[in-house]
Amino acid sequence: MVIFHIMIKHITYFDVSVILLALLSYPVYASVQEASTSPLSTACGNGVVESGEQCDVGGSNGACPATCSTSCTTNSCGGGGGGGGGGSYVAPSIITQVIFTGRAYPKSTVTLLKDAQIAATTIAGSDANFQVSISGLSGGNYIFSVYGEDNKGIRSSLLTFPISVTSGATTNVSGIFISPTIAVDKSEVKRGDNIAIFGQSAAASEITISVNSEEELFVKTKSDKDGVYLYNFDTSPLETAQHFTKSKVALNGEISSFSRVIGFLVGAKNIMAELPEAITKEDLNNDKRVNLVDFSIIAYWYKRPSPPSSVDLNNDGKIDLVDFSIMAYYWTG
Amino acid sequence: MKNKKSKIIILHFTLSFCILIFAFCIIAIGKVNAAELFFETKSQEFTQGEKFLANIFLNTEEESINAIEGKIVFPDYLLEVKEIQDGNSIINFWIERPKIGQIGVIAFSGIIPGGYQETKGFLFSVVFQTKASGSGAIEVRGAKVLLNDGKGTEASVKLSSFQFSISQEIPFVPLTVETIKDTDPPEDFKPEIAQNFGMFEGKYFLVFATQDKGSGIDRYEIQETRNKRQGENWAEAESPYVLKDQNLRSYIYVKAVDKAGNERIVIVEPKYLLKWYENWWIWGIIILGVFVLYISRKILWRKFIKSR
Repeated sequence: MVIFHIMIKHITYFDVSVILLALLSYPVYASVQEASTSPLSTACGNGVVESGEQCDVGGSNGACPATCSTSCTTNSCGGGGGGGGGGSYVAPSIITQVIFTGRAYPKSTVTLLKDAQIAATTIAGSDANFQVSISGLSGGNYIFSVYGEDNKGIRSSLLTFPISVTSGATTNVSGIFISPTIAVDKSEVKRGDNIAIFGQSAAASEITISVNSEEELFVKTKSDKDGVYLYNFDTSPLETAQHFTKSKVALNGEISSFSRVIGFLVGAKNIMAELPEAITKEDLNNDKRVNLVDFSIIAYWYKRPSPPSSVDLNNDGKIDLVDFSIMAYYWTG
Repeated sequence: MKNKKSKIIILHFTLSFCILIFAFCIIAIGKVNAAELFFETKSQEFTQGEKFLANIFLNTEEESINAIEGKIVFPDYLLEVKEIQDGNSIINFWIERPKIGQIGVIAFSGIIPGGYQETKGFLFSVVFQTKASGSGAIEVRGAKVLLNDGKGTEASVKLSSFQFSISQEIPFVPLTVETIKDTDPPEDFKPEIAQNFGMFEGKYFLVFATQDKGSGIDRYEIQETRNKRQGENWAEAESPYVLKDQNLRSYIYVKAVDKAGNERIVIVEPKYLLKWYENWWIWGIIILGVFVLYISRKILWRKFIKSR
C-alpha cells in the first residue's frame, strides 16, 4: 500500500497521457490497417475471388444452400448420410437465387453483372467451365451480364440475360458460352501480306473467324490446350479499305455468339497494332473499367457546350445518346 | 386505235398495281424489322376524375438495343400526371429519369449496358388522372433507339399512340389505381468516390445508383460523418454528389429510399482515417482520464498522510 501511494505521488501527468495514448492507439492502428487494404470491403465477401479463396459471391456468402461460405470456401450442400436420431429441425429459409453455369476460357476470370454493376466474380477451371451464383435477390426483372477476361487482360463482349426472378425460387441459367476475345497484330496491313487474328476461347475448340469484305469471308482454326488461337489471314482477296473481323467458337455441338468486332485497314504499308488492353477510350477516368463513374462523367457533359474531346466518344462535337450507347457497349461494371 | 388505247390503260393499271404491291412489301418489311415503343392500359374509355395507369414498353424485335430516348406527349387540358413509376424498369441507368415537370411532356432517356433484346421490356408507368371530358391521344415523339454495336447506330423505331376518350360521367366513388405492395428495400449497391479535373473544379465526388424492383427509387440521402456511428443528419442528394469532406476522412452513409418508404443504407469507409490527435473524443478521454487520476491521487495522498 505504501509503495502504491509512492507510485501515485511520483506519477506525472505526462506519464498518464502516455499511458492513455498507448491504450487508445490500438483501435486507431487497427482501423488504419483495415483502411489500407480496401476502402469499401474486406477480402472475403467483396465479391472478388482472390488468392486463398475458392469462391466469393459477396453478400451472398453463407451457409447452404448458398454455394459459397462466409470463409470463401465452396459449400457442399445436400446429400451425405448423418442425421441420426434427435437433433433440432431448422425450417428452410426462403432463398431467391440465380445460378449461372457455362464455359469461358481456361483459368479466366468471369465477371457477373447485376443490372450493370458487378455482383460476383469467379475463376473458370482448366476446362474453361465456370459456375457463379447470386442470392439474396428480390423478386423482379433483372438484367444479368457475364463476360470473361483472357490471359492478356482482354475482355469479351457482354453476354446479357434479362431474367424475371421469382421470390423464393432458384433460377438456373446454363449453357452459357462466352464468345472469344479477338485482336489483330496490325492496324494497317499491306495488301497481300498476312494479318494475324488471335485471341482466346475454350480449349481445343473450333474457331470460326469472319472477315467482312464485299462478301463475308469465313475461315476456321483450332484453339490449343490453353484455348489460345491464332490465324494468319492472307489479305490478297481484300480490297484496299477498312475491314472488320470477329470470331465465334464451337465445341461439343455448342456455338457461342460472335465476339467483339475489331477493325483493320488494308492499305499500302504495315503498321503494327498495340494490344487492345482493358483500357479503352470509354474508360474516362483510366481505372481500367467502364462503369458508373464514366457514365457520370459523360452525363455531366450531356447537352453542355464544348465538351472535352476525351468525353466525345464519336467525335461529333457534342454529347448525346450516341456517346452513351458507345459507352454502354464497352461496359465492364 | 381502240385496242391500242385499251392496252395502254391495262398497262397503266398493271404498273400501278405492281408499284402498290412493291410499296406494301417495303412498308411491311420495315415494320417487321423496326423496334417499337408501345402503350398498355386496361381501358381506353374513362370517366372524369378517374386515375389510370399507362405502361410504356419496348419491343426490340430482333435487334439488341442499349440506349433509348423519347418524349411522352399528352393533352394537358385532359390529363394530369399524378405519379411516375420506374421500379423494375429494364433501363439500368437513366440519363434523364422520367419525372413530373414540363406540362404535357415527359422526357426520358437511358441506357442498358450489354444490350437488351426482348419483345416486351418495361420502361416505366405513368399514372394519369382525367381532368375534363373529351378525346385525345398519348403519343411518343422524338424517339431514338440505338443498337448495341459499339457505334451507336440508330435502329428504326415504330411509335404507337394511345387513343382515349373521357366521358362526362362523374363516378360516385372515385376510381383509383391499385398501389404496388412493396416491402423489399432497394437493391444493394456500392457507391464510388471519383475525381475528374473537368468536373466540379477537380473536387472529389461520389457516384451511386441502384434499382428498386417494386415501387421504384424515390430519393437518395447522404450523411458524411467523421464518427463511425451513423447519425440522423441526412441530406437529400443526387449522383454525382460533391463531397463536403474533400480530405476523404469521413464515413459516407448513402441511403436509397423507394416510394414505399423502404430503405437501403450502405457505407463508404474513409480513404484516409483521422489521426488520433484529430479525434476530439480522444482528447476528451485523455482530459477526463487525467482529471480522474488527479482527483484519485489527491484523495489517496490525503488518506495516506492521515494514516501516517
